[in-house]
Amino acid sequence: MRPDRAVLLTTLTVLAVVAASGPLVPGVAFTGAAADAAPDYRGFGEGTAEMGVEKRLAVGAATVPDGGTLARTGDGYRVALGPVELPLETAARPVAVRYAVRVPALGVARATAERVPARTARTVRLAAPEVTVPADAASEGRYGATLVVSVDLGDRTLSVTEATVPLEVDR
Amino acid sequence: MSHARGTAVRRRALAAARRTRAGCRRVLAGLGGDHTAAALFLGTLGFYALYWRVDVFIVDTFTVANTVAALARGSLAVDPVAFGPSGEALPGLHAVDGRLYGRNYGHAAAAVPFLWALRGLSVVVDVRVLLAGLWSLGLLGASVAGGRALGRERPAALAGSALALALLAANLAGARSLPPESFPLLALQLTTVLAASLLAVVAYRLLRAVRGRRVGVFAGVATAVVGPVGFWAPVPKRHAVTALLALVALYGFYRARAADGAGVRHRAIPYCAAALTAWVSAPEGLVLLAALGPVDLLTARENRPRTLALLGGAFLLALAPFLLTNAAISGNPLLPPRMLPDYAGTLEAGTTAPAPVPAAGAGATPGRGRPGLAGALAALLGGLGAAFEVFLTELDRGLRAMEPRRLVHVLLRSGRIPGVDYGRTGGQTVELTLIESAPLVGGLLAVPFALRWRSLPTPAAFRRDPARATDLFAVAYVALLGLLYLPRLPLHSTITVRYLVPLVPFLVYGVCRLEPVGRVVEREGELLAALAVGLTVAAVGFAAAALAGAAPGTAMQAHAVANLAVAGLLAAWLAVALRTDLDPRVGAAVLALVLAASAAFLLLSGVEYFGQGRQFTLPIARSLERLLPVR
Repeated sequence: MRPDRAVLLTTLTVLAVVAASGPLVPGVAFTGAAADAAPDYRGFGEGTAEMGVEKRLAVGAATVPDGGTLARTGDGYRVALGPVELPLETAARPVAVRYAVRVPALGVARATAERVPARTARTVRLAAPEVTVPADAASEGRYGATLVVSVDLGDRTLSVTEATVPLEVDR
Repeated sequence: MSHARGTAVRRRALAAARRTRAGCRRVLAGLGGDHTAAALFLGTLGFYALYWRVDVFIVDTFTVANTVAALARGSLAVDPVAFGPSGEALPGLHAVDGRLYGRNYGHAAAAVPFLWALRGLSVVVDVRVLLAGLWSLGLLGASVAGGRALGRERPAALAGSALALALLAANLAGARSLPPESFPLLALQLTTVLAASLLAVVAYRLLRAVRGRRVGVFAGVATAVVGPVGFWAPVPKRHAVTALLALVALYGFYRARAADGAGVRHRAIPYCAAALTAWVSAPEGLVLLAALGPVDLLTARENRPRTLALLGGAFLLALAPFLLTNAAISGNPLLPPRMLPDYAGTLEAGTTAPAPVPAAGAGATPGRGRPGLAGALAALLGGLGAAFEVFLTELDRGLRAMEPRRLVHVLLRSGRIPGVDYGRTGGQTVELTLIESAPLVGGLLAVPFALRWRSLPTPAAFRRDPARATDLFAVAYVALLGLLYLPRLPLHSTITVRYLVPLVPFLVYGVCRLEPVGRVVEREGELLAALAVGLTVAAVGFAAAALAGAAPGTAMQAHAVANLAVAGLLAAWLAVALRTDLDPRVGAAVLALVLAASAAFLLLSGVEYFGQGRQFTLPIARSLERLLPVR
C-alpha cells in the first residue's frame, strides 16, 4: 500500500470512529457511563492537612426530597420524608453515608447511615430516619427541616449536601 | 449519473485533502518550519498523554478550575464555587467586597477556548473517544513527520498507521465517558500539556539556531523528558505555561541579536513574554522583566529612542490584559489577585475575610472605587513602587536564604528533609531536589572546567556574540528566579522543586551550550538515539521489577539516588571531556543514560507511583498501570 494512502485511510477511520461515538449515530456506544463527577481526589497539596496518596472517594450529585410532612399517628406525629440518593465510588477504604434530619423548632435530630465497602461504585439509597413527635409539640402549621447528606471517611467527614425543606403538619 | 456524482465526490475529497495539507504546512511553519519540529511536538504530546490523569493533584487547582469556569461564563468573580470539597475553604481564592476571585487569570483565560471547544464537541462526539482519537492521530503525525525528517517515509507511515489504529482499539476497550464536570480541568490540562510540548519545540529551535540541527534535536528531547518539565506537564499548574513564556523570551532575545533586519520585532518578543507571564503569575513576570531589561539594554546593537518606544509600546500592549484584570478585581491595575486577602471560608457580603497569613505586599489595600484619571495614575505609580519594593525585599530574602543546608536540600540530596511537613504528603518522602529530578542539570557542575579565566568579557564582546549575550540573559533569569523562590524551599508538595520549573529549560540550554555535548551529538547522534531508546526500556523494566510493592516515597527516593549517580557520571564525563578529546561514544552512552533515567522517572511516577486509583485520560494508561507490577 502507498504510504500516503495508508495515512489517509487511517485518518479517515479514526475520524469515523470519533464521529460515531457521539449521539448523532444512534446505536453505537464505545464508552460506558461516566463515573459520576464531583471528584474528591486528594493528591499532594497545600493548605490542607488531610492529604493522601490515592483517590479517597468520588461522589455524584445527591438527590434529596424537596419537602415532607408531619404525618398524624395515634399519639403524635411522624416525620415523613422521602429517601436520599447518592451515587458514589469508594477507593481503598470503606465509607459510611449518613442522612441526618434536624428540626430545630421541635428539638429533633436523627440520622441513618449505611456502610459502603471499599472499591464499590453504586448509588446509595437511604431512607429517612424514623422520628416521632408528641402531639402537643407541633403547634404550628409548618416547620423547617435541615437535611444533611455526608460521607464519613474514617478520619474526617465530607459534607456532600445540605438543604432546608418545609415540613407541612398533617392536621 | 452515478459516475458523475462519484467524480464530484472524489473532486471534493481531493480538495478537502489539499486544504488539510495546506493547513498542516501552516502548522508546520509555525512550529519551526521542518518535520523535526512537528515530530518533536507531536511525540512529546503523545508521551505526556500516557500519564495524563484527570484529577486534582494539588488542592489549589480547584481554584484555577473555578476561575476557568467563571471566565467561560463571562465573569471574573467565582460565583458559584463549582469545584472543590464541600464545606472547606479553598486555598487560592481571594475575597474582595464580598465576592470571590480566583488566581492565574492568564492561564485560566488560555484554557477558556479549550473549555468551549470541549463543551461544543461533546454535543456531537464522546470526549473520551475524541481525545483517544486525537492521540492516535498525533502519534501517526509524529511517525510521518519523523519518517520524513529521517528520509524513511514509507516504513514510518505504514508503522504509524498500524500503531494508531491498534492503540485506538486498545483505548476503546473498557473506556468510560468523561463527565462534563471535568471539562474545566481537562481544558486547563490541555494548556499545560501543549505548553510543555511547545517548550520542547522552542528549545529545539533555539539550539538549532545557536548550535545546529542535531544539538537542537537533543535539546528538544532533553527538555521534553527533563523531570520537572515532564512531571508537571499534565498537572494543571502554572509552571509549564510560565516556563514556555520564559523560554520564548530567551529565543526571541537570541533571534533579535542573530537576525538581520527583524531585530526590533524579535526584540519585542521577550518583553511581550514577560508581560503575559505577569498575567499568569505577577512575580514571575517581574523576574523575567528584571532579568531581561538590563541585559537587553547592555547587549543590544542599538538603543535609539524610537526602538525603545516601540519596545515599551509592545510591552504595554501585552500587559493590557494583566492591567485590566487587576483593575476590574482590585481597582488597582498593578495589584494582582494573588496580593489580595485570602478567602478564609467565612465570606459575608460587604466584608473581606482576613487572610490567615498576609500575602506579600498586601499592605497596599485594594481601593475599590472607580478612580478618575489622576486616581488611576496615582494607583498605577503606587502599585509600581509597591511591586518593586516587594521584589527587592524578596531578592534580599533570597540572598539571606542561601545557607548551605538549604541549598543541599533544594539542589542536591533530599531524603527526609528536615523542616518539610511530610504529613501533607501522606508521610511519603516524595520531595526530590533539582538534580535528583533533572540529572541533566548535574552537567552544569562541570562548568568551572569550561571557563577560561583570561579576562572578563566586555559589553562589546556580548554585543558581537548573540549566543554569549543570550547566556548572560539566561544566567540573570536563573539567578533572579532562584532567589525569588529559595526562601520558600524546600517545601512539601513540590515533588521536583516545581517552583523552579521555569528555569529548568534554561539549565538544559546551558548544558547544551557545553562543547562536548555538541561534539557527541554531532558525531554520535545515531548511537545516542539508539542507546537512549534501549536504555529507557531497560530502565523502566528494571525499576518496575526492583520497586515492586514499594511505597511511592521509597520509589521516588530510589529514582532520586539513581538520578544523582547519573548526574555525577555526567558531570565527571563533562569535566574530563572539556579538557581532553575523549572518545565521543563514551559521551553518547552517558547522555543516553541521562535521557533514559529521566524518561523512566516520568513514566513510572506518572503511571505508577502517583497513578494508582486515579482516572487517566487514556484508558490504555490504566492497562499500562496494571501491566507494570510496581504497585
